[in-house]
Amino acid sequence: MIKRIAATLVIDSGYIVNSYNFKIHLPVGKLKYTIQRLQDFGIDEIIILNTSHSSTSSQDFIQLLKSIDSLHISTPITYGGGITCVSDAREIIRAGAERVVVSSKLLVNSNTFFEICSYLGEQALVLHMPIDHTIVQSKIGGHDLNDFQSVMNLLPSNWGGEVMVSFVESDGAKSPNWHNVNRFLVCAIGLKNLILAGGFANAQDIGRALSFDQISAVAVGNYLHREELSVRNLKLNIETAVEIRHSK
Amino acid sequence: MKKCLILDYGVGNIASLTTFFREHNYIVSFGNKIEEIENTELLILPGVGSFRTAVENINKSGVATAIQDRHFKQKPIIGICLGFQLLTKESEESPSFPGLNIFNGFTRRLEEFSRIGWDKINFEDYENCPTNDYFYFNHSFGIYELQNFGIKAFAGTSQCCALFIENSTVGVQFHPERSQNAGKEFIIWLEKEIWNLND
Repeated sequence: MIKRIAATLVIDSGYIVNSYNFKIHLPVGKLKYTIQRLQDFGIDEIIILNTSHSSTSSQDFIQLLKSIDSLHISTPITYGGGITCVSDAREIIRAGAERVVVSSKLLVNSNTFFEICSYLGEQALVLHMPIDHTIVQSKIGGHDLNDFQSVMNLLPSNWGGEVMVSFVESDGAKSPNWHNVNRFLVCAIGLKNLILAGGFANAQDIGRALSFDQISAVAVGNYLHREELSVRNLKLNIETAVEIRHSK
Repeated sequence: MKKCLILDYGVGNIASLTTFFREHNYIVSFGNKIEEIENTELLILPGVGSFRTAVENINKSGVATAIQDRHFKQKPIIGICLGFQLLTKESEESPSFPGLNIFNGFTRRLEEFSRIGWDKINFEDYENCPTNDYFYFNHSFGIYELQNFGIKAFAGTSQCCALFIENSTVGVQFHPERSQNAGKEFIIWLEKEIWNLND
């Protein structure tokens, strides 16, 4: 299985936004045009993080996903935002997503996480773990490294889903804080199937992240909105010993 | 226009499959009645979901025999991911809920726990391969010990089966509907080489 480059599309009030520390959102465009462009230039996966769920009904999100699918999108879609029960997750999959992103709060505070696992299969879940080294509570909540280890201990050792780790303090930055990433990777020794996000905005950092055994994918956000060919150029410039997919 | 039926067993990525097969000139319907299964040109068993939920719903709608009949009559079927696993005898995911037993094999938990991402497939003793491109996989269970004679393919170093074809029944562990150009080429290949389905 080759390593992946995923696009993270943060949605606020129906628009894609550039996100900074998961607090400041600046609109950059409409979802469907961006998704079409990302697919055309060979993105491996699209992760939609909808932060506007408090003001919009879940039916609106399902309509949003259906409108994406009507564009003949044949790229894997992972959707997160506002999932609080099995029914939410089931409807999102039926509307066209392959996987759902579920907040770590759902794992810590209820049995719902495992109910969704049981209904959809573990591989259909991405557990979202925002890591905040500044320990300042962000818009989406945050964990420190001790939290990370205790949350991971709640998962069975053979759990088959992926864990998306977002470095809150690097979200929107030009580069991740490698000191903090390395601290995290030490905590994550022995783990697999981790997606890293937060500040991965150039080929060098992404290639470096993909070279670690624990990492199955790197999620890229704001960088992909800068220019039309950003996905293709990014992939062409990644120098890594691991294989990545180039579109034809 | 060709007709296909996406079997409704309460789980599955219905919307993306509908869009995908419409793009390939199919009139897509969605249901779980015996006459619908008998009359469609292509039956699709969708992916994404747990084995137990799917088996319970198939049993509830009483269509297991109709699906098996299609296989023996060599009418086209495609099982995708979970849909492929449902064609086997049983799954470790839900041992007390038997599968459709069309393929003589077992669905077991992957040794590597899950396989999520892109991989190429390699056919065993078969030269007329559809494409050398990557396909998208997303599964934590896989099919092992297939005893049938048919066209078989594996992905990367994995020991579980990525593709199996017997009669006109096709099982794929990957998602053609999410595999970009590779998925499109694959369906065109199936229509021409396996199903003999034309517009």
